[in-house]
Amino acid sequence: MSKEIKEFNVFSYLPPDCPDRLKKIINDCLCSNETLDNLLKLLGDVLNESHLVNIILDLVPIICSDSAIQLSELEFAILSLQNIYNMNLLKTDMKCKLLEVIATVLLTYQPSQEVVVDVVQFLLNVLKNKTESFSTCLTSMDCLIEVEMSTHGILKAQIENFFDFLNHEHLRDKASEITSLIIRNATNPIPNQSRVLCDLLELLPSLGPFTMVTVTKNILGLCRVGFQTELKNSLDKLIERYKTTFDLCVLQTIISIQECLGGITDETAVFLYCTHPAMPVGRNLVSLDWLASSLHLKKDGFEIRQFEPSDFDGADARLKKLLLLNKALYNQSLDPAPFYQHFENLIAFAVKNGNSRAFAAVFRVMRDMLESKFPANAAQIVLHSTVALGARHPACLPHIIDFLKHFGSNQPEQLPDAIILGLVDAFDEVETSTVMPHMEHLIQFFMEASLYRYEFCQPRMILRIIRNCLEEKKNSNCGIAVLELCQALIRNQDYEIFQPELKTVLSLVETCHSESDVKQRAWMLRSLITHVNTDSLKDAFDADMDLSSTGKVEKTDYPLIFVKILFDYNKTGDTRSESLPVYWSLERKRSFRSFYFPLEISLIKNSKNYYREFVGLKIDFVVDPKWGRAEPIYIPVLEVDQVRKACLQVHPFVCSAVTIEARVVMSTTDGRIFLSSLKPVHLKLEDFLNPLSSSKSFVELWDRLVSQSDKCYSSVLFLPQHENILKAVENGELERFQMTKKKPMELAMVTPDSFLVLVRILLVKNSWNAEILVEDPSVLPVIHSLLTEFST
Amino acid sequence: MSLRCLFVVSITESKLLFYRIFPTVEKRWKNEHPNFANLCLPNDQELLDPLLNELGILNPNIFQITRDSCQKKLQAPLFWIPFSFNPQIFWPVIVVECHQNRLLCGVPYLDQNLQPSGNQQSMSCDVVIVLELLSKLVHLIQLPPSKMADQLNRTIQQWLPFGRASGYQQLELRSLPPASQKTMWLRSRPKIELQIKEEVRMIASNLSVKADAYGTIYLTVDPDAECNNNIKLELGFSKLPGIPSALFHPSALAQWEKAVCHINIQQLQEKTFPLCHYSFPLEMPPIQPVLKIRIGELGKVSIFIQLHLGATTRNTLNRLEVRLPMPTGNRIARILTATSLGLVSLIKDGTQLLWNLGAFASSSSNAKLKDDLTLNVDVVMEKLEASLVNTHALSPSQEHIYLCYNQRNSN
Repeated sequence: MSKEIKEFNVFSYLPPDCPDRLKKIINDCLCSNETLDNLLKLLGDVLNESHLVNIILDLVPIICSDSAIQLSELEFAILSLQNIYNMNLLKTDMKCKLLEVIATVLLTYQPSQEVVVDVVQFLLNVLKNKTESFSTCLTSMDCLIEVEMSTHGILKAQIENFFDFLNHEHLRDKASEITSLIIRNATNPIPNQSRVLCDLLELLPSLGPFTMVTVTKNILGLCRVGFQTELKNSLDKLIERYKTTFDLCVLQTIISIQECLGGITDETAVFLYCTHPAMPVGRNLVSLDWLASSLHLKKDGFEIRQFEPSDFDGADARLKKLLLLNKALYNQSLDPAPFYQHFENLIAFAVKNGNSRAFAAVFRVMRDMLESKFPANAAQIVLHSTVALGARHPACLPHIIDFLKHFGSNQPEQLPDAIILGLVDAFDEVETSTVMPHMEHLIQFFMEASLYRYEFCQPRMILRIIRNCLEEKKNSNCGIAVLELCQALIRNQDYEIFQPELKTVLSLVETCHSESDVKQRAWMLRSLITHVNTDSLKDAFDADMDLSSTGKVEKTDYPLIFVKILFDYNKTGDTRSESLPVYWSLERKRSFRSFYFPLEISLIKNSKNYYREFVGLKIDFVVDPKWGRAEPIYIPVLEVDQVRKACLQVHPFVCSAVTIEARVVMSTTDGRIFLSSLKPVHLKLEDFLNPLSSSKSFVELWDRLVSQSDKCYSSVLFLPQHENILKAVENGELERFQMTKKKPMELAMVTPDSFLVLVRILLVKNSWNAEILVEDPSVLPVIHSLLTEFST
Repeated sequence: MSLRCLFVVSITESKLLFYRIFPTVEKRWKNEHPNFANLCLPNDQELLDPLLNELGILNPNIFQITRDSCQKKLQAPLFWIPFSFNPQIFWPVIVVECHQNRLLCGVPYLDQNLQPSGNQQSMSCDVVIVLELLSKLVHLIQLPPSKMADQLNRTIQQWLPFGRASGYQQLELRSLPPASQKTMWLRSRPKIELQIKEEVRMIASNLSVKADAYGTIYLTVDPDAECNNNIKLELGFSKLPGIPSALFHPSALAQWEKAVCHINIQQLQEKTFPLCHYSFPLEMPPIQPVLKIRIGELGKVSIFIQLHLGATTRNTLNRLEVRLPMPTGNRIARILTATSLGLVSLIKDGTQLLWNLGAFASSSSNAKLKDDLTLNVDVVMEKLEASLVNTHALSPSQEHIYLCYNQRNSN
């Protein structure tokens, strides 16, 4: 059986024109050892038959690679092959091939040091033999390189043998390569190492491209100190000789030395090469990478415009160019406007192209922006781009999930929160039929969102979106995924708060799904969350928290809890000041935005209240229905000295300041229920105006709005006490709407119903006026009252 | 730097056409990575599927974390392919795209473990060497499979026996007998042949037209020619508005004198090689396209494209291709009728209309292009998911038409 396999293997390597006698010899052999033996014997007998020699030399390494061959047999084979070579009856090309076979057989098994030394000596003898042709000398050196690569340091003592060949016209390249390799592998410096390194550096410009880059790689590390002049001389010669080359090996050599000497300059062809349309894209990418990863990119070395992506570029080239553009603009402290423009083009390209690689390019650029912290408002750009992309193109949600997981450690803390919140908010606003086809991605994203704090995750909103989708498409096959999402929400959030919504979704899964397994799982989950609850909580939820009619509620004349509104997320955490911008465009869909105000909720210590813990808190916010609505807040448990974070969510229908009355209903563990009025919450008009991303140009927006005459309404307002409004900006009250720090003051904001407002405050004939441009006339009184309030 | 393995893939057949491991290099890799000594490079389907997936040829629209994660640094043309049995470890491969939908791939020996990280500078040298090595083999990849395998085996044995350049080719060229001292003027076949392959690409929309031309000049020296030591050439670009942006083979020294380039080839390194890559912008593209679209009822859309060759332009085209991308969020469900020369087809899931005029654009049928070429096509359009409809808020609202054509001259 074994024999059959061996024979089969050898035969499969025989060429079609294999002579019959060779076939017969192989066929007659019982094992690989015997085959090898007989082939070597035959080789010795047919040295003048080149065709047969060629086939045998092809077969020998194949047979030797068989693990059944004994070590002693391999050593014998190497010795036999050396003897055959020394018979000197082979033609030059076969001699070269024989040398390669010896090296291959030697290096593909674990040879003893003794055998390796023998073969090295044999190869050196070939090299020293004056009657040998250049070809065999070259092959011998190539074999020696392979031996040195496998057995580091074995040629160290022989290095002087190669010095004579360094100036040899035909063998210079291989001699340089082997010398540099021996120096690199040596654990201690070789004798006269400095002189040899100088010689190699001098030879560098005259070497072939492959040798040039290999030698540079081998010795550059050793030449960093004390060889500046020699490096400079070599570099000058290389640049002079190869100033317009397209050979990557030569260019790599040049930029490696340049990096060593202080930086890449525009004298090399790299700058021309990296964006040259006639070069294959892969080569452009390699050279763009050199520049992007260069530690010393000299700023006068190139023109920024060269690295702007073109319409002809694909995703990879756009990505590399944008990374380089970002770095170059940052290094030269230039205006990032071209970067914005090309980044937007990249997003448009990805959306149009639709493939995952193009989206990956977008997120890689964003990651780079956050890492380099350039442009200064990188976080804002990332936020608005991610939310806009995710909301309009849910297919890229897996990219967003990956992006959220791999932001990097030095990013603004609130950015992932804001992305999650922005996207959940956006999905809540779009029509169900729009998100329906992307249920799978949506659920994946919501699973990720469930890991975030309640106020950003918004589980009730998530469950509403899921409920709508399930109601819309009753036979959806995403039942298991929905169940997993519900489990994630239960696991990661205070599920008691959104228990009713959770139950509704689980009931829908139970009724809509045909698979009994899914039905059962939904029923079990619903039962579980119902029965693990306390009776009081259960009662509270079943009564929909309207406990005023039960007669059991005890009204207090003092507030039991303290609700503190945090107007800016930034005040709680990171000291970086970043407002959350709004994406605005003329073409967007108009819809009312929700507003979120982070809250801190704690118990008020009061002598009349001796309870240390309350359960089932429901805070109701009462607003005029014409103004809008505010979502209630549920808190399962609140203990003394505990500060719970929550989020006030309001949906204004009009843009105005508002005072929101608040009351809380809360239970004790012994069954008492209290109703307490809270301090009203005052929200200012400016709290309902969103700042615009500062990546936008005010002038551009102004001109664009003016050009859309059907969408533009203007007004001028006299500001009697202009210093008040300037002071308000100084105090930071309006600063978030300020587009630039320059004069005249330019403010931009977006109303809850997505109308853009632009204000320019300037001095006209000794009086301060505000020029106002709005998209809808209904907004004018709002802005008038805002400006009047701040200037009187 | 050495190659551990070299292989050729046919994308259309999803098949390995050639596979060769360099045994000494592979043995060395295993010796230096004892923890992974049992880890063999994959072969056959085990190799193909992860490779094509990583290149985005398989599953192009599905997010794959090992391929598309934002934390992964794009190192193309170097790709890291996860092992199918353990996606946490990878093998590196450098990929060169060749004609006939074939990929020439080389697995480099990189001084690092099995992760796509490490010393970028050192890796860059290795990538560059492999890329240049592979580029010397590209011309063999377009041969029929058996001939290609035969030629590749022969070239590898002579030129890359240990997965590195042996220098044999240079030696062969340098060892040619020196040029005869006696100048002989004999009528004979040309000793040097120049071949120019040029491509013009153009994007036209109602707002702008962008076009540029780029090309490569190939030089072939007759094997028997005794001119390996010094070849002087003059290339004139007098009809261009300026000097083109050109890059030259390392054996060529180029000197510009106005629009004439004097080239001196001193050390011949190959017998056939690309002498020069050049490019220049075209202010006035040789072909002017006209695009008209009429939207009918029930998603029916009529598209009219007309191509007009400039009066002074001589037709030297051998390939002409027009691509019309559909507006974002739309695709062509089917073509109802098409009246034109050439072939009209849908590509990229119907999001692009391709009008291929290859056969009709060739210079032999010059008359065809003297008249305007027109395409009348009626298609049925359909919207993609509703969520895509609003994407124009993110993208420039202009429809493009892409034109691409080749011309090849030889003398």
